[in-house]
Amino acid sequence: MPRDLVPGQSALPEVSTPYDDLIPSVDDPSARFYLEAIRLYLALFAGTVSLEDAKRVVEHLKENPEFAKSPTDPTVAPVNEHFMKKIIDNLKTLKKYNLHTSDSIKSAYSFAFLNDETPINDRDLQVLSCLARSPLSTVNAIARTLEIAPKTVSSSLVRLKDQHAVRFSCLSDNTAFGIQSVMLFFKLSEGVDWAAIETGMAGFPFTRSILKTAVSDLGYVSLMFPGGEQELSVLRSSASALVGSVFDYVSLHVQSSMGAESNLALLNNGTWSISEVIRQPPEAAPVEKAGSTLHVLSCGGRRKEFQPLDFAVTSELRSDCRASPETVSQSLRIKGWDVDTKQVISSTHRLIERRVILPYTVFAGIGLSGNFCFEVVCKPDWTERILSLMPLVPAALYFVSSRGVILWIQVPSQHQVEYYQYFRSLEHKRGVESVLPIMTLVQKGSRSMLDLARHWKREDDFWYVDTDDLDLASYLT
Amino acid sequence: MDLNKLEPADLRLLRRLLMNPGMRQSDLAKDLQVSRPMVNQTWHKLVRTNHLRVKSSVDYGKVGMSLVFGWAQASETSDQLKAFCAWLDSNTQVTLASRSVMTSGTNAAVYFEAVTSLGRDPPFPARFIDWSNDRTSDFGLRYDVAAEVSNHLNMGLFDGRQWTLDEGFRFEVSTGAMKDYADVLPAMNSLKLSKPSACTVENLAVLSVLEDSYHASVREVTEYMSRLSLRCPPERTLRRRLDSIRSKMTLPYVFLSDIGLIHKAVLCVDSSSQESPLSRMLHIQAGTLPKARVVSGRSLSVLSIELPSLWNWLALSSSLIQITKSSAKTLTFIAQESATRKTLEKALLRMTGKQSLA
Repeated sequence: MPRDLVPGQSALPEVSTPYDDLIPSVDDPSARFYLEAIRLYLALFAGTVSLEDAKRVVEHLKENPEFAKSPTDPTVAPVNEHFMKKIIDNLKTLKKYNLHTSDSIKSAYSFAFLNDETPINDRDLQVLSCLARSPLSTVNAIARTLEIAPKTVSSSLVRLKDQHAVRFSCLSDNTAFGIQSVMLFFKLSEGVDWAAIETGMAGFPFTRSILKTAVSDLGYVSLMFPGGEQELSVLRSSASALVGSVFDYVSLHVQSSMGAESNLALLNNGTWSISEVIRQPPEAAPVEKAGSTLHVLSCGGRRKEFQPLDFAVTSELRSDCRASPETVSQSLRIKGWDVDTKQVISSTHRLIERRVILPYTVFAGIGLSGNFCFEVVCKPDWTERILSLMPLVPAALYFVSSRGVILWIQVPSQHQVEYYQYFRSLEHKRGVESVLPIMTLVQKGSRSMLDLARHWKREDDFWYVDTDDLDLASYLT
Repeated sequence: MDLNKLEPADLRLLRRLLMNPGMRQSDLAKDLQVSRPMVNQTWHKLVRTNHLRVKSSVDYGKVGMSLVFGWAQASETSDQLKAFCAWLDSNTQVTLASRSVMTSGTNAAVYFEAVTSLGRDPPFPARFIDWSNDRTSDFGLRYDVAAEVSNHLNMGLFDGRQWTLDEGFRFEVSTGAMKDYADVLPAMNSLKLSKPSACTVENLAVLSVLEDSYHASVREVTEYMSRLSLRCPPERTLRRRLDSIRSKMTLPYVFLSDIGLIHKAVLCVDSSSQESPLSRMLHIQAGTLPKARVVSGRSLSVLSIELPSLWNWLALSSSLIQITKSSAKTLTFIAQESATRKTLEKALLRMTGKQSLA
C-alpha cells in the first residue's frame, strides 16, 4: 500500500562524480534540472551512487516542472562507456563555449543518447527477433528455439541492451483501473509563444508527455486521469475553448485500444527492405482490412479485481517488463509503495493473463533513424485498414480512438520519403479526413503513471479528480 | 549512381583544390609535390566518375541582372501552387525549381531561383502576388533579390566512402555561439552581388561561359560567341577581358557529384529584420556541411543542403530552427532533384534574337 515519503526521514544522498569539475554551477532551475540528471548519470557510471539512491534522487528531480516538459530519468538510460564519453564530450563543448542555458544543457544530455548506428550481427538479430515476437521469453527458451547455448543468448542480450538500447516495455489498458488515456493534438495560433504554452501544459497535473518539435507546427500533449465521460467532457470543452486564441486546431483522442508491431524480417544483411505495398501509392495497391496477427490491446473498461496495487505494478512494468519481482518491489518501495515480491508476482501474472498489459520490445541503433508520428482522423473501417499496414513497417506503435488512429513509426532513413508519402497520401481516400505528420529525432519519454497518480484523489479503491481540475484552458491562458 | 568511391589520391587533390578552387593543375602539382601528368590523370578520372568541374558563382549585377529567389507554399492539392510550378517550369528566366517531397508540415512547397534582366523585377505575373495577398487563399509566395551567394563543398567530412557529419550537439552549440559573432567572422566562398548596371552582350557571353567553367579558355569563349553570331574581339583583347571578368565578376567553386549525398534539403528563413545576423550565420556555417548553397537577400535566406541521410536533415533543421526561432519564420523540406538551367545563355539568346545556339 502506498505510503508517503516523509521529508528528512530518508535524506537524499549526496551525488558526486569524478567529473564534477566539468559540471558548471547555474542558478536557472531548468538548467539545474538537466545538470543534475547529467551528474546522476555520471555518478551511476562511476559507481559513486547506487541505483537505489539514484532512484531516490530522480524522485526528487521529478518535482522540477522541467520534468513534465521533458521526462529525463538517468536511472532508465543505458549506463555504458559509450554514452558516458558522449556526455563528457558535450560537457567539454559547453565549457568551451561557456554556455549554461537550459536549452544547451538539455541538448548536451539528449544528443548524447541519440543512438549511433551499430551493425547488428546475425546471432543478435535472431535473438532480437525472438524477443520482438515474445518479449518475456526466457533465455533458455530462446536458446532452445535458436538451438544455441543459453550463455550465447545471455551475451547477445547484454550486447543488445548496450549497443541497441533494447528494453522491454508494455502497453497497458488503464481503463481497467478507471483511468483514461487521452491525446490532444494541436496547432498553435500565429504569434502564440510556445514556451509559455509548454510551461502551462507542464503545469497541468494530468500531462504525461508533450511533443512539439521546432520543425513542425503540429504537436500533441498526452494526458492521463481517472474518470469517465463527465471528466472527458470538461476537458473537451476546455480544449475547444482555446481554439482561436491559443490554438488553430485541436483534436482529442480517447484511447480505445493500442498495439505495437515490429518487422525485423525486413532487415537482411544490414539493409532494410521496403514492402512493395508501401512503395506503391495507395491508389495502386488497395489497403486491406486488418489481419489477425496484430498485437492489439483493447480497452475493456473498469475491472474491479484490479486495485491500485496492480496499477503501481503496471507502472513499473512499463519501464521494464522483464524486471525481476524483487526489483519491481524495491523500486516501488522507493516511490512509497509497500508491495512485496509475492504481490508483484501475483499481480504481474494476473495483468498478463487478463490482458491488462501487453509486453513489447523496444530497440534502436539498427538503421531506423526516421521517426514519424501521424495523427489519422478517419472512419472506423479505415482505422482497421491502416492498422493492417503496421506489420509492413519496421517498428510501429499505435493508439486507437473513435476519432481515428495515431501511429508512431520508425523507418530507415533511405525509405523515409516513401513511408511519409504513403501515409500522407491516405488523406486522399474517402473515409480518411486527415493525416497530419510530426517528424522527430527520437520518441520522447513520458512521466510514469505513478507520478501522475500523486495528483489524484483516492477513496477506497478508486481514484478520482474534481472535474473542474480538468480545465486545461486555465493553465494555458 | 549515388556514390563513386574516392581514393586517397583523389581526396588529396580535391581537398587542396577546395582550399583555392581557382588553382590550375600546374599549381596543384607544385603544391602537392607530384607530377603534372599525375594531377591531370586524377583530375580526368574525377571528371569521368564524379563530374568534377570548377564552376563560378556569378555577380549578376555586373551584367545588368538580378538573382531573384524565394519560395511558394500551399496545400498539396492547391491548384494555385500547381499553376505556379507550371509557370516556373515554362519560364526561361527560372534557373532552379526544387519541389518538396516531404515537408515539416502539411503544405507542399517549391523553392526557386530566377535571373531577371535589369528593371524587370519581380519576374512574376501579378496574379501570383495577388493570390499570395489573398487571405482566403492558402497560397503563400515570398521572394527577395539576392545580395549574397555562397557555394560550399566540405570534403574534410568524407573519407572516400562515408561522410562523418556532426549534425548533433556540437553543430547546434557552435552555430548558436557563432551567431553573436557572425558580423566579424569571415564567410568563405561567398560572393556579394552588385546592383544591376548596364553591360555589353559580349561581356554577358564571356560570363555565361565562365559560369559553367571557371577556367574556360579564350578558344572556348570564341567558339561560344561565334555560335551566338557575336563579333569576337581580337584574341589579346578577349584574353584581357576574360581575365578581368573572371577576377571581378566571378568566384570559383568546386562542383562534384555521385559522392553519396542522396538527399537534398531546403531551409527557408524569413527574417523580419534586415539587420538580422541569420543570413551571415548561414553563409558561414554552411561551410561545415557536406555540400551547401546559400542565397540571401534583405530579409530572406535559403540554405540548400545535400546530405547523406534524412536523419541529418531533421537534426540540422531542428538545430538551425532552434537558433533562428526567436527572430525568423522558417520552412524546411526535402526536395526533389532539380536541374539548374543556364539562364545567362537564355538571356543571351533573347538579346541576340536566336532560338538556340548554332
